[in-house]
Amino acid sequence: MMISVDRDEEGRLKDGKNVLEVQNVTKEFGSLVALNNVSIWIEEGKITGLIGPNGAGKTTLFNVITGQFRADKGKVFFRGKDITKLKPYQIARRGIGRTWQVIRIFPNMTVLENLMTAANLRERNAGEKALELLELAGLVAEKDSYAGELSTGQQKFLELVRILMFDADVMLLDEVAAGINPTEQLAALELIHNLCDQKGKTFFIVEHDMDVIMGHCDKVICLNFGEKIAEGTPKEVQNNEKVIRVYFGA
Amino acid sequence: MNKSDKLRLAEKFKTDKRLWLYAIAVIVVALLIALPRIVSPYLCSVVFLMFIYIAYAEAWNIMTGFTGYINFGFSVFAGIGGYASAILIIDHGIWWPVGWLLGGVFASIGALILGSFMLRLRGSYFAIGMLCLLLAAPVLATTEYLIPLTHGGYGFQFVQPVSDLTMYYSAFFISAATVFVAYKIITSSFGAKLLAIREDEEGAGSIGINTTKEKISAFAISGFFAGLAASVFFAFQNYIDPSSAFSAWYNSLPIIMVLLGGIGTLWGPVVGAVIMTFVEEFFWSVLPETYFMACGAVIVLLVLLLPGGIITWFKSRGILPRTRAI
Ligand SMILES: Nc1ncnc2c1ncn2[C@@H]1O[C@H](COP(=O)(O)OP(=O)(O)OP(=O)(O)O)[C@@H](O)[C@H]1O
Ligand SMILES: [Mg+2]
Repeated sequence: MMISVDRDEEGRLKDGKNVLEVQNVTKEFGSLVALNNVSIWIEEGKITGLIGPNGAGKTTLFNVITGQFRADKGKVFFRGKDITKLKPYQIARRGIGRTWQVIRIFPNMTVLENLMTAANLRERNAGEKALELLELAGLVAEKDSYAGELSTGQQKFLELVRILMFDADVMLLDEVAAGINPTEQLAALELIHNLCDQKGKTFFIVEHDMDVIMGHCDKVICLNFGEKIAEGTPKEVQNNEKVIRVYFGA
Repeated sequence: MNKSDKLRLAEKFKTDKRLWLYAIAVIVVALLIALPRIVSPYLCSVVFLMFIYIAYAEAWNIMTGFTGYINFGFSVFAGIGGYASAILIIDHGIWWPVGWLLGGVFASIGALILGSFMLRLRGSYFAIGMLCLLLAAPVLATTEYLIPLTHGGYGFQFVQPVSDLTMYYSAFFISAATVFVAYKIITSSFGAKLLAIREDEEGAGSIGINTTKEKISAFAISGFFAGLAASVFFAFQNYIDPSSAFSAWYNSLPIIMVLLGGIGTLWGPVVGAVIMTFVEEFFWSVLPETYFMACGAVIVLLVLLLPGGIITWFKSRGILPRTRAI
């Protein structure tokens, strides 16, 4: 990797120019070390992938970033500001949105209401904004349906656009492409690319599907047993010895 | 008939239905306004009670129906409102409408303060905590520190400040205002946030909802209407003492009404309150001794037959549209 003037020796942008930085985070559950001294940085406007076998700590890392879990050691910075001790709602309001590995919409509320839950109370045109987002998600026709009645794919789209309702500009997506059909997968990826290219949104996505990771990410990070074992371009990570060993047991 | 014709017909039908609803609403309101001139004072006092119950039930619903936090201490706020207005009107000579309004304000402040502590408790802990507060309230009201304010166990034997007719219209107005505010809440994004808390509080936090703040707001609004309606109710009763102010029966009534009519719906509390007013009145006159038991039996039956309540039942059958405005 080229080391230019504003990057340090690890290739990290200097002076807090990374939109999100996790520094030496450790998270333990009893004797289990779910995250062990993990440091990562996410560049603005890029799609960063997070891979690793089951139980590697991917979801735990998301939970630490979004304040669901408090890190035992280490810090999280968002746009150069320490957000380690903030509550989840405060972190969301700063601009970090997330989706959940197990979909977390409000099933007994309508699709439109689901978006309104995330509206800023001071926003005047929340209704119009919600409709625009539903258009983006292809859910306008379903706006008055109960969210619990949607297909899995539609629910994932709903969960994804809901975080746009409060103008999150960093989006942490935990397995968006899992459990949905190939057509919906393509549409989801297209939406992610559009948001990235046109609106400058930053994505940090957990994904098991290697094709998705290799074909769509600018950078990939690999976790194993709570430790970062590799990071770099998809190619680099794919050819990394440790990654190959973890994934193919060689 | 082609498709667009059918659609137009359906639209027309919808508007027709709407018009019908408006017509019925106007007739009901006109009837309620004219009622004191038509029926006996006794029946008027029953309808007065009905208005109070509607306000109570809808106030309880604003907190528990919308946020899912079960408030077993409703009477705490009714009691605070009743006492505050009695103290202000009788001991301090405050003009009665202002006194009543301040009864609501004090109850609301009470909810704000208690809520700041209690709403950090989740689920059943909150419910139990509120029940404990209810049990503590009459004891507190008779402590020596508060006796100068509350007149201890003796309470207030006060003369009703205004005529029955004014009381009747005041209660009417308060019940209408409570339902209107509940309507405004449940169709707004504030209401959506409350429902989100009911559905999944942790998930709600992750999309930027300050759940503690929204819960406390709902609690304060609920407390305001509880206190306001209670001010009028106790004025009508013509007395307030610790056991009536923090009575277990008036604590349970709104809960029963809401469960019967449809929890979390806008009109469920109204339907429940209307039914329970007449059920209570009927049993009270027919079975004065066993009236609590008879009410209990009816409630158990209805809740068994209609889990979720009447409005919810109609909605799930498609007889009523599934809109928040109903
Ligand atoms: N709340 C918790 N309490 C105790 N242990 C937990 C908790 N959350 C996660 N863990 C443990 O931490 C480790 C990492 O879990 P995590 O969910 O982060 O893995 P993951 O990489 O997301 O895996 P998957 O691909 O299966 O989603 C696992 O061993 C898991 O059992
Ligand atoms: Mg996971």
